[in-house]
Amino acid sequence: MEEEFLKDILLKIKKDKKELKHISDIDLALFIDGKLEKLSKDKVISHLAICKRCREVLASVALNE
Amino acid sequence: MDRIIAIFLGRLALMSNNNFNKNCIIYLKKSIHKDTQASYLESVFDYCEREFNIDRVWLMFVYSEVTAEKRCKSCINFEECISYVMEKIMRNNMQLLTSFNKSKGAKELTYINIVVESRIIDFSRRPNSSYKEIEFKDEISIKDDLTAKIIEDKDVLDKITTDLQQSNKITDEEILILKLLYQDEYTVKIVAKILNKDTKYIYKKVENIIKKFRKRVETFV
Repeated sequence: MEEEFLKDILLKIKKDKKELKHISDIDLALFIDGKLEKLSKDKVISHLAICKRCREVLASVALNE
Repeated sequence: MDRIIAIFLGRLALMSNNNFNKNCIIYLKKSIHKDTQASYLESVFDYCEREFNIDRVWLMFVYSEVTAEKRCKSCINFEECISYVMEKIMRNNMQLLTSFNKSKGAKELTYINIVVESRIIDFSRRPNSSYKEIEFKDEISIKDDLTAKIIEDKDVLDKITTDLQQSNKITDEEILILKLLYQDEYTVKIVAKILNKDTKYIYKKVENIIKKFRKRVETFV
């Protein structure tokens, strides 16, 4: 019973990870240039709040500008 | 063929007319010696031949390569990193790079930087990667006693953030600022650049977040 429960949790984690689709390169570029529309900007901010990879990309670009 | 000669010919083609471009691609393709490390060049020339647009493809390729070389310097396995980035660009993103749409408003330079940088980050995030991360000096620190105590304990930080988020007392932008500053440990200057705001805006936001945290912590105590 416990084993099944753990398997379910692991499957859910894997599914969640797969579902985390990163922001496209063009949207990241528009975001850092301050050219995104309000709605898209809010979506990018919500994604960045949970995605370390996209935060790292933007930080590296900001650092090397 | 020597890579430098190929780059020179590519640049020459860049300044010439279409017929010359076409001939140049054919010549360059024939000239690549299989034993040299010119696999990217071969892909670029294939792409140029398909698109009949050597100037744009070549310009994008050269700029991406220069950017990748500059950025991969912070990596221990410089060669491995640059090969990974350029291969990814050639295989999956050359079209993305060359079909960049200016009308959307992003700067071409920013876009290429993002394309290259995201491949470097993907390289660094692979399991067992030997990538050496860039160190961010915390030149402007905003940590009062209370926030310092809270952020030291990740569980407490997560608990308070989730609690504030559930009661809609903290915005996604504030959570992002919090994570960038205290979890990823970037400087205020970098955070301001990422959000395309000035540092004053970030300080004000942090002040607000601290107020909210203080209020929430007080109710816990």
